[in-house]
Amino acid sequence: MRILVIDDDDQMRTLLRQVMEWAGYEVVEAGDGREGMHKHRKQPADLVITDLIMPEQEGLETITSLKKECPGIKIIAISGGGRIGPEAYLPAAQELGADKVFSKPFDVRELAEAVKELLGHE
Amino acid sequence: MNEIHALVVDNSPVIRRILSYVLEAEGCSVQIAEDGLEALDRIAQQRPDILFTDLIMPKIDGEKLSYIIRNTPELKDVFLVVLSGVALEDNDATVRIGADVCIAKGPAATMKAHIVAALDRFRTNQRGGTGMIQGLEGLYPREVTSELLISKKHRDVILKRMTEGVVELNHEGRIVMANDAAVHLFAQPEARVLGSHLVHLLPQAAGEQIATWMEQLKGAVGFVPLVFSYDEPILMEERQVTFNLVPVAEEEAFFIIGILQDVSRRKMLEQRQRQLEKELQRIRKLEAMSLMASGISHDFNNLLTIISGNVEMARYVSRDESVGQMLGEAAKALNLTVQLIRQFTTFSDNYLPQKSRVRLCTLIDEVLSQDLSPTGISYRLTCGDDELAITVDPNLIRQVFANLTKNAVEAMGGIGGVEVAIDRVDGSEEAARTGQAVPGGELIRITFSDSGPGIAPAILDQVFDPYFSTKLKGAQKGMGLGLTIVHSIVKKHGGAVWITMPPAGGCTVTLYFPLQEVVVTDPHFLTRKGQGARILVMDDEEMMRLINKKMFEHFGCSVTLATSGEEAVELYRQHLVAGRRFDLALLDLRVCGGMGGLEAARAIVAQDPEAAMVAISGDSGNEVMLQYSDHHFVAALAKPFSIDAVEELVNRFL
Repeated sequence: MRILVIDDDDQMRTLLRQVMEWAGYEVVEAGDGREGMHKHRKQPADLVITDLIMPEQEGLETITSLKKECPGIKIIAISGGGRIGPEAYLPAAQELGADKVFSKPFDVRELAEAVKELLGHE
Repeated sequence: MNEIHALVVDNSPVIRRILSYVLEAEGCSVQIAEDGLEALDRIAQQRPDILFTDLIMPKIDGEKLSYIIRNTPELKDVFLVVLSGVALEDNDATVRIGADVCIAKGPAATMKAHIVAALDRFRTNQRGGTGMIQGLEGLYPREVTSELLISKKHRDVILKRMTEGVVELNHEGRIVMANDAAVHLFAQPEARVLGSHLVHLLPQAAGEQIATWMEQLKGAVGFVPLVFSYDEPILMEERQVTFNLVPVAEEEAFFIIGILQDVSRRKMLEQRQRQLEKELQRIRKLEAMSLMASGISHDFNNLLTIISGNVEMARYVSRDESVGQMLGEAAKALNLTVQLIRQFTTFSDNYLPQKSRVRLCTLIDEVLSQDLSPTGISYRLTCGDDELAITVDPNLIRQVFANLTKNAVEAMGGIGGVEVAIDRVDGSEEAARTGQAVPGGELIRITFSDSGPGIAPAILDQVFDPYFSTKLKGAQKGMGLGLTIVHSIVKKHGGAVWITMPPAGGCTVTLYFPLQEVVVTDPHFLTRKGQGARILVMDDEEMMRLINKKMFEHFGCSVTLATSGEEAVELYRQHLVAGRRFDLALLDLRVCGGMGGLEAARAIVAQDPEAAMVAISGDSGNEVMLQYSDHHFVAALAKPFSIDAVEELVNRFL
């Protein structure tokens, strides 16, 4: 199972990669939505964890493109809120097709649980 | 028949003597008075059966005296005979006054005959004057008298119409004249006001001050006025009244003219203005803070996720028990930090209330019973209407009452009680009653009172400030944000809140929430800059429409979406016709298979030359984007745009 982690924050990406690798998944990293799409096309992921507010291509746009190209893909959106707050962004992400949303700060164990649940149902 | 008691009122000794002589000869017992005021004192000692009065007299004149008699239940049947020196010039006085007989002053012999005749009419109970004036034969009208009477009439009209109260006091401080405005201020019938001592009609402190001043006047050479100014008015019932008492020398004695002004309304408006300004200041302060809180929480949320994630990972990886324990402690502290940051976000712009219909009584009861049961503090909840429901964010409202309860518990130190009352009120009435910044319309009012020691008045205005706390700092994390959060949540719901110290002790927090969700337009209650503004967004991409909608809604705007130029033009037209013109229209320049933004802008400007439109495009080098003002646009935005760009639009155009 391959997980694509999209976040512009290096440390956040590293953390997510470690957690997911510990949970036994293969992890691909991308620094923004555009790079994420590019990598996904080359190596399709089963699940994408994406931040919502990033330079270049925003998370909401990425979610839409991913769902359009690959309707079965599982998506987890995470957000620290930016100017609007996760309360505004996360519902939008859900409307656009994110399967689960997490508001930063979140518990990595819960995130790992969610990933397991989403991929386990496949 | 019993002896007839007659009272003769005239400032002319000659007339008094003639009347006494005639009446005593007729078997009456006669009392005399020199003016209306003295007459009132005589009447108070013994009620006369028949009263003879002159019209023009100093102090209380004959007309006022008659008015008092006719309007005092125990006196209204006194037989009233007017002896007028101005009967020819003022010939409708009898009817105006309600005299039983009117006699013109003239030669003594004629007068005597008419006095006896009047007495006969009294004896045979022929009441209600005919309007006829006796004894006019041989008299001629005098021009000077007519002129004086006209001038008096003018003065009376002016006095009657004045909004200021005017009173005249004699040297003893008794009221001998009071215009309508003054009588209204004393809130007593005119008949009772006239003749009263002014000091008896005022609160004790003011009365004593006036009495002392009048005492000083008696021996004084130069008269000094006594002023109760705007800054220290006299409190009469609910009204605040300024007094300007001016002594006027008159032969041997003096009299006093008093000017009274009801300044309650002005004071109330001033107080309200001050409150509004304070509130506005507070909101500005909190706005700046919330901006910072948004930034801090965003950065911290990221950092905290990384810290806590790594701590969790380290705990998982580490096999060393003591390292695990240390990481466990770090995780606990992290958890507290996360909670603190959450508190911050509650009053930051980041937090959009998640509203639902809530029964307030039930919600508050839950909070009180849960939070108070371990403390031993009792509570009483009074609901005007148990079913009363409003649309609020239940979690936020729960937090409001949890914070208030926590403060009350800490203030009372484990002993006492909390009382909460909920009822419906009218916003404008509450604003007028309290002088506070209360929104208009139907409101729910919640008063939350504790029996603690209260708050010192000097710091009352600061209690909503962030990190203002009367408690010792450092003992507990997150202290000093409780009331700030209460204030912020109430404002987010378009309500109002303040704290008062009731005279009976303790502390009362009064909160208001609008019963109906309303579009708030009063700048004092606006929490978001774009509140109520109408925005039209035309974009053929669904995702762009959705994000734009979310962003504008964040600033309180109401957003209408269009998928093509044609639809945008039609929606604009419909809204314009319905009087709900869009405040801003965002038009995408390139639309797949339909009318683009430029064409739509031309069509819209043809309907509404004042339309405010923004060009949006993925291609920022486009000629229209560069020269947008040549194409009816007020701004151009390159896609995708950020929340900051939207905020700038809101600031500039809404």
